Amino acid sequence: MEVSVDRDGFETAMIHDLVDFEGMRVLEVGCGDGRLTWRYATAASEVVAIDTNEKRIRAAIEACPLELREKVSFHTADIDSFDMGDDSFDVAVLSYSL
Amino acid sequence: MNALSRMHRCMKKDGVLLDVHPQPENSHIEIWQNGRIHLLGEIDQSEDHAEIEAARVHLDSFRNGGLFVEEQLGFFELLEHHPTVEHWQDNWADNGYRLLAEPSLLESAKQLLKSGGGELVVREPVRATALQRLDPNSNTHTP
Repeated sequence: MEVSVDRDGFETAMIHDLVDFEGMRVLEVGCGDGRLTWRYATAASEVVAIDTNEKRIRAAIEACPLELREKVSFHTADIDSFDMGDDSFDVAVLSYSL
Repeated sequence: MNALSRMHRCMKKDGVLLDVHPQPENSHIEIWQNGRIHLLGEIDQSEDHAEIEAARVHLDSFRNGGLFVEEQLGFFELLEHHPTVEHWQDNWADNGYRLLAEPSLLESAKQLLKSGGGELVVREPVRATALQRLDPNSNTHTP
């Protein structure tokens, strides 16, 4: 049985209160299995999500909803080695990883 | 170049940094059962508190250094629901989290669930901060 996290949507409500993700290009650092990613990816135009844990990245890729697969990419990487480019993201999310 | 510097560089002008991380406080454990909430106590996450405080100091240095400015701050509780104590223990082990709880708390949880069903809930206080990226070469900031 899967663990149920944020069933009442407190986290989801908070992040959408703080940030307008609509049409944004988003970088998420520390994405894990995508748990937070699903909360905003529908609104975003593109999501690049990284985590150093390969097992959790594989889980994220497997769990990614079909409708998000065109615009969400997951990568096993750390922030020091990943080529993020310059001046390329509207929003950066530090997901329980600072 | 450190992580926050790299993030600043990869973000567009006026980009937003959203930082979500736990408060340096212990999470609380509850059993939700038949419309009632049984408060069982806290788990020991003190090992993480120093790390969280250090990370905040680091984030503050970027605010103070003119790379980001805090726009909004919010607090919420992240609730994690587990059907059994064992499910909680296995899930945290799979994710590499240390679970430090008094044996009496775990036993109380098991007994309550065994006798009346319901679920175990981990209540974790979390802080979320939205920061606006600044151009350190510019003297203006548009709120």
